[in-house]
Amino acid sequence: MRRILIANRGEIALRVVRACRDLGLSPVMVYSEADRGSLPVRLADAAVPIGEAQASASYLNAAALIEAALRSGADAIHPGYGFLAENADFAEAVAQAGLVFIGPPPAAMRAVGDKVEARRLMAKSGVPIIPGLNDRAADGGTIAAFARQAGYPILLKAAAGGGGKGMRVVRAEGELAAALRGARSEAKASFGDDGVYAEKFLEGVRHVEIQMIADAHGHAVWLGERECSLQRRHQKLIEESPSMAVDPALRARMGALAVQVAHASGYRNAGTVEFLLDGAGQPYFMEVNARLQVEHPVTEMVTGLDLVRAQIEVAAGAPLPFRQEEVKPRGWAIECRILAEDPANGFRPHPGRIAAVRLPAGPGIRVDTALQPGDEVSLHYDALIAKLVAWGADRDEAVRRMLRALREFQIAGIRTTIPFHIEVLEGGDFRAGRFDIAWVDRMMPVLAPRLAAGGDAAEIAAVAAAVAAYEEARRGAPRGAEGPAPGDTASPWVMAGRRVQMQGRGSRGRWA
Amino acid sequence: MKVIARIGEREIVLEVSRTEAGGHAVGIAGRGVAAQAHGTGPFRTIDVDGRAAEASAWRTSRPGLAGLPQTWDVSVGGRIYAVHLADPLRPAGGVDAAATGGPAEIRAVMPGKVVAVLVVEGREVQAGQGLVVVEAMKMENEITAPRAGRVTSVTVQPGEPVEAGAILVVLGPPGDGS
Repeated sequence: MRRILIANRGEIALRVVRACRDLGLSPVMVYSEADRGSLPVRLADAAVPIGEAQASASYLNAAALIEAALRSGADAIHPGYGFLAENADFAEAVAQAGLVFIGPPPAAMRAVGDKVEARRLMAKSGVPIIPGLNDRAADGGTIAAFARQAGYPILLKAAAGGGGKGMRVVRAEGELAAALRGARSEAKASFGDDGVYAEKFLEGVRHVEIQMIADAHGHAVWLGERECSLQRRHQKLIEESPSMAVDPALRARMGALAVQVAHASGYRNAGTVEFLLDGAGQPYFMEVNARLQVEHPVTEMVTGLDLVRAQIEVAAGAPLPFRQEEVKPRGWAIECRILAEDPANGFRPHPGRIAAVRLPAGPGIRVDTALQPGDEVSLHYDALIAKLVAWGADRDEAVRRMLRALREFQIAGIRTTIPFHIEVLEGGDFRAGRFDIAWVDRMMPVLAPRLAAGGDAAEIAAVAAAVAAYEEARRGAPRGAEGPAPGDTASPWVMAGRRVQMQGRGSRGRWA
Repeated sequence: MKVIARIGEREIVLEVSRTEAGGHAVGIAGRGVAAQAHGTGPFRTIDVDGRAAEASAWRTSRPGLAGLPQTWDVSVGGRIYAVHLADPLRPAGGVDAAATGGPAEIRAVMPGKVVAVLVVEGREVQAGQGLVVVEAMKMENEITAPRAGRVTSVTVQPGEPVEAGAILVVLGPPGDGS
């Protein structure tokens, strides 16, 4: 394996570019019209345009991706996460084109990637599952009947999905029809499959997942757990490893279950087995994420392993470079997802142009981001713009380092989830580990007004705004996130350039 | 330049001038405090009464409105402050029509695509009732009624792309029972 095509964008594309460099391999990027100037594209050895900004015309275009790989002389494709990462047809097409797909084999992906098939397989293998339907194309009537029998609340899930897309909690029969319609259309938009199934919605539970990796020689190891209970509408916001809710005995039990899942499904490469953990410490299999996950750095920080490197090595046919007893997690790691969303206003998407960025650094801090000044955070893609990871010898040190880094992190031009993370990490519940998967949704009515009120630096903020406004007026060329003002006093050449740019943005900025 | 800065409920009158060193001196009325700003942006160090912090500010109101009032977002120590700047000679006034029951224009808060229209013209709606579903960043967001009223016009249809600020629905006063 010499050259890898990265079929993704943003921070995860950059992560794979870096792994390629560390292995002495040549990274090739693809890009949509919106990502031409992005950091991973700049840092790759070659970059291939694959289509318009909307994902369906670019990052979801399997034929264009495979053609780009063949034309650029790549011998493997890394799919990252999202887009086509868990699409078995894509993995199969990649193999048929004579390329290596860096991920699980299509058969294993089908066995675990389809949430309903996975539930059937786990039930057969003796892995505990959440009560629910094992019918991937359940109609409204079947789901309503299940809900009446199991009792509300129930959870609707996209059969082909993950990442919280196409998921809805339904608390009463009257909400079912609307929730089903929303879940189906989101599932269709995200995965091209509107199949939805239902399971009992467990309350007061935690989301704890096990990272595992398997090679082509029958070895599978687990790499500790990640606590991902802090999520909003099933979108994870903060992850940590280890989990305060898991003791060594439970960890070993869940690890063994994850390896059992890997063997039962013929799994290869990196994957995650997600569990819900009830108050009594009973884990229930939720699903397998048959890909590298957003939160993998948390595991990397405590184990010292490079998961992307291991993925590439395993895909190339090498045996796992470590055995189970050699995996010795150390210390504590926390990840905060920095999203282009305004947590003070219902996590409303907050696209815009990044005026300036300064990344935090220092002991124990890792930032995975492709953000550059001038980048346009667009509505076409996921709102994740950076992952901030802190490591400490213990949880308290990791938390303090994370707070330091969150306050250092400057992103000018858009609102982000940074204030939310500060508010959560400063709170007593987080410090004491008192939270479940509904904590964020339950607490937002309390947290949102506090976020809207800002902190104790109101005077400093007022002065900063007044000075910036004064300078803008003095320069006589007001310019902001919206583009140049009509009365802008720039040269004719600059104005002509901007007109072209704006026309381009206008045509791309539309949904097709 | 003299401005009234409003953050939440607080109002601060500020007077900004440039120093010879290229920084800024800022007077805060009523407190007899002089603040200083250093740097040329985007990140400036602001010192108020001996407390210093780094701040970045970006304008959120349209730049077409060259004068005041303006709105800015300011990031200080990981927190965001929404700052409204007004001319002290012409302070912003006005009554919110939406709160008083007068006509309210329900607008898209972000660019996206209309995926569903949940009301028709003439329909009575309650506060919090869904009006339009707009998809942005792959998430569906339901735009709800800020108050009770009667839908006087629906200006979008499913499938239509909308820009931020586009009018979706116009809400009139609640019906008279007819």
